[in-house]
Amino acid sequence: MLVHLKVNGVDRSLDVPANEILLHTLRERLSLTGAKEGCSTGDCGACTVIIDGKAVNSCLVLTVEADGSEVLTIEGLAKDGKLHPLQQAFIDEHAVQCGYCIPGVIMTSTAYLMENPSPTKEEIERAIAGNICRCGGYKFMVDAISKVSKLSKGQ
Amino acid sequence: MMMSTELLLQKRRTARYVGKDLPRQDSLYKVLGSQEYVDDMKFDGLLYGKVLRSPLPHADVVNVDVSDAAKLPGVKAIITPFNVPTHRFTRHFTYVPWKEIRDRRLLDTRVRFVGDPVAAVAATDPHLAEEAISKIRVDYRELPAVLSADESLRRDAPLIHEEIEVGGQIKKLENNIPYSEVNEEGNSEQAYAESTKVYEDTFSTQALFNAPVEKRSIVASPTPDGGLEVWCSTQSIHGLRYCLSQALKVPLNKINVHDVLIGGGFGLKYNMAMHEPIAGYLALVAGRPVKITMTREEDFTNGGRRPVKMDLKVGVSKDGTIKAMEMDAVLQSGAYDDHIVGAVSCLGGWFFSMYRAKYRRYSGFSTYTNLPVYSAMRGFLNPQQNFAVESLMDDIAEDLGLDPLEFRVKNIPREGDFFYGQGFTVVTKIRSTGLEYLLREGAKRIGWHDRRHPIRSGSKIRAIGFAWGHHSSGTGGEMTKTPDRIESTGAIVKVNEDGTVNVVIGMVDHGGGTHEVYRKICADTLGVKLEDVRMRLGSTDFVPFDTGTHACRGSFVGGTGVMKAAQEAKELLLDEASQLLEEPSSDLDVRDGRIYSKVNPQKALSVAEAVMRAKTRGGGLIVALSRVRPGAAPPNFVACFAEVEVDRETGTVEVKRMVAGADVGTVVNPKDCVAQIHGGVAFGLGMSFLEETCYQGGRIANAGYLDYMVARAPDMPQVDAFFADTYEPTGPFGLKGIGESSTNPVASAVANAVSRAVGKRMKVLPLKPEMILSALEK
Repeated sequence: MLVHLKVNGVDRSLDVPANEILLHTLRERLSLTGAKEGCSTGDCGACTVIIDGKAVNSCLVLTVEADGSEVLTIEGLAKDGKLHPLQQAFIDEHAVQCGYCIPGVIMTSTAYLMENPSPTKEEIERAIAGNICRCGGYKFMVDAISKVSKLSKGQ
Repeated sequence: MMMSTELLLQKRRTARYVGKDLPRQDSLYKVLGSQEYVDDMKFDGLLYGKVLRSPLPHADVVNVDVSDAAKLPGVKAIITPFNVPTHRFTRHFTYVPWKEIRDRRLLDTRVRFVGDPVAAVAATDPHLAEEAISKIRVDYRELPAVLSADESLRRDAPLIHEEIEVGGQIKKLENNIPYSEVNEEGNSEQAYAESTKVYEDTFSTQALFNAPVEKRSIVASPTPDGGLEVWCSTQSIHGLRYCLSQALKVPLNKINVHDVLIGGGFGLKYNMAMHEPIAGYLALVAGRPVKITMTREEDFTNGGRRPVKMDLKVGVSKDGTIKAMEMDAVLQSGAYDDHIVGAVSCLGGWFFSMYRAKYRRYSGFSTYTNLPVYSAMRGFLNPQQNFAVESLMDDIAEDLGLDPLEFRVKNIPREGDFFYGQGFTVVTKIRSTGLEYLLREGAKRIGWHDRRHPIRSGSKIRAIGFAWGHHSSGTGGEMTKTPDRIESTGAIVKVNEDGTVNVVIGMVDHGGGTHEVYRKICADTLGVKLEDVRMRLGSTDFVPFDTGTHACRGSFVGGTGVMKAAQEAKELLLDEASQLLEEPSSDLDVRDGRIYSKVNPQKALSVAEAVMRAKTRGGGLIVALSRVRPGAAPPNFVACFAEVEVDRETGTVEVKRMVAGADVGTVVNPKDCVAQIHGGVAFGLGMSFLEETCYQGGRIANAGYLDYMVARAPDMPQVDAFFADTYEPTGPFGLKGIGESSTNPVASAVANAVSRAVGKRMKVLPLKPEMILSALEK
């Protein structure tokens, strides 16, 4: 089936089988391998991307369902060689360990901060509850996200 | 040459980078999503491998009919037990050939667990590979299955392996116990004569799964001369190379295992998984690269923490001195060797190292079952024994009317005592310990002395519990009866003509920051700027052998390797500069990339200049390679305190707060060390409440993140982490390990808090609400 997507600002027309999941379209057809397949059941959050402003598990979305949408992946976050503030904060706060969950966590928190620009730490914890970090570095992620929300308020 | 302690401490004080939080080299790649893991890589002509797995826990494979599968266009190879080599091999990365077990074939005509590979295909498309698998018809003759350690010990239990190989010799088995070990030290009669009270109890722990978010994945690509290029999510590139070589009969120098980072391992990836030689064999048969990536469900059958049942006996004198300690342990293994020898041995070594009793005895054995295999998992048997010992210690102290804190302080190991980390073949003298400080400081921070007794408020009870744990730093003991161990590393330090440095090693950084430790050690040893040091994992064709990342050896052993190579590179550099500056090299030093004379500071030149001159004049290269076999495996310590709130109506527990102090010697990466403590707490909370691998008829019933619960952000309590200020003389810059000790006492501390709250000893993990409610009723 022919599908039109805008991925990281670029228009794409793709001919995909009806049962193909968005995660596989991104990874296999567009070589955007930042989103990871941790479980394929929507339980780990490693495949999180942003569709029309909302964070979703791309393993639970059929590519045809996303027809006509704007998709933002981790690869599209840095602009003109400059890191997104969340990417910079994750580096600065040592929130990155093995790194496998990181694209998913950053996409989840990017979408969340658009929705709630000044969350409490508890709200951030709940917001990233769908993302498993087996390294257990949640505190550092919460610190990083919290730092960005404060920066955006000029605090 | 041993440096004096004062010189060593000065070296640490003047270090520019060791001990400071600085941006990590790998983070940039990871936040951009451009860090490549195995499953992200692209290969021309790639085939997708898929494994057909046994639906039965125990059966003979009578016939495999692949005729329909073979008709599918795009299927390039099909292997079954009837068309592959039948020799046994090891899957074990620290394999000593004359000691250990071989019981696994590529594919076998007998399957021994639900999920055991029966056949495999390689096809041009992953869906096609799945379709081909579904078209293979297998005739099984079902056999009675053994689904727990208890069942496997019954007199009439069917044999899971009639024969195995031990040390290269065939060994016929008469029961399901492939390995047992007894160790005893001191005089039993005398110790019990001095004991006024003897305590006995039984504790048991559950099966767990490591659950790294990256599922295992491997790509094997054949070379024209019969070799293989391999990319694999593994904790040891050389371990995998050795096991593949044994399994596929390809010489070691024709297998190149590449430099790929892993998305978490936690011990799961410290062996060769059963599908990994299958991928290699498919690639050799098909003549094309083959990738096998696990499904989440399949990955659960690759390993986990084994359940252990432990009978303890402890004799104590009137003044609270532990005189005798004994453990009899039954370790449950899966259907094939899953670190059986190491597991049995390490459990005893950890147990012996808990308290300085004058009589200690350990007897342990492992049983085969028809369950999926276990593996190493963060702590490797240490959390299991820690739960048993630290639970009983609380009971003993309370029974004797002693403060559990003082009771422990009185009996903990001290400087000069022996530490039996990694089993009885790895013995190290304790040269640094901040354990008493950790216990006292932790107690202060959690408020132990004011709130030792539970506080009730409505339906809630609050209580504090604590425990301490240890782990070895590597496996290089110094005093040992049987020295055979696989424990070595080597690093290459190459100083470039612009003054920058490349460091290469075979040790994988799991994400804990091991490679950052190396960068800092290199920069501080050589005297160059940190930003000028680039660290890479090598591939087996290009780096010296390294055992792999396990046993908290990454920073300790690898750091020694990098330090030694950097020291040699510095000597070469100073020799060169000595000629150029016409100053004796003993008067020269390097700082921030400048070589200068300590006597005539105006005489100086840059590292870049010295390297370029070395190249242009004598063709001398400033490059060094180290070869390291560590002479010690010093213990690192963690004391953990937990404050819990038990709900009397629901039996649920909330961990309100944790305090965890660690003695890791020199803290090289402060934030990353705190992250290790958080990670240890997350694993420990899982072991306490959340996690358990459940079996149904031998099948894992909860093989997914929905039903197997790991700690998520809201599950994490507030964690107050702190460090002891110690210096380990055998460690590079005084450091020791941390990754596993951070987990080892966590579940014990939580269980002690819960037991104190409910007024009854919890002896089984995980702590389930129904168990807590029933304890409250009694």
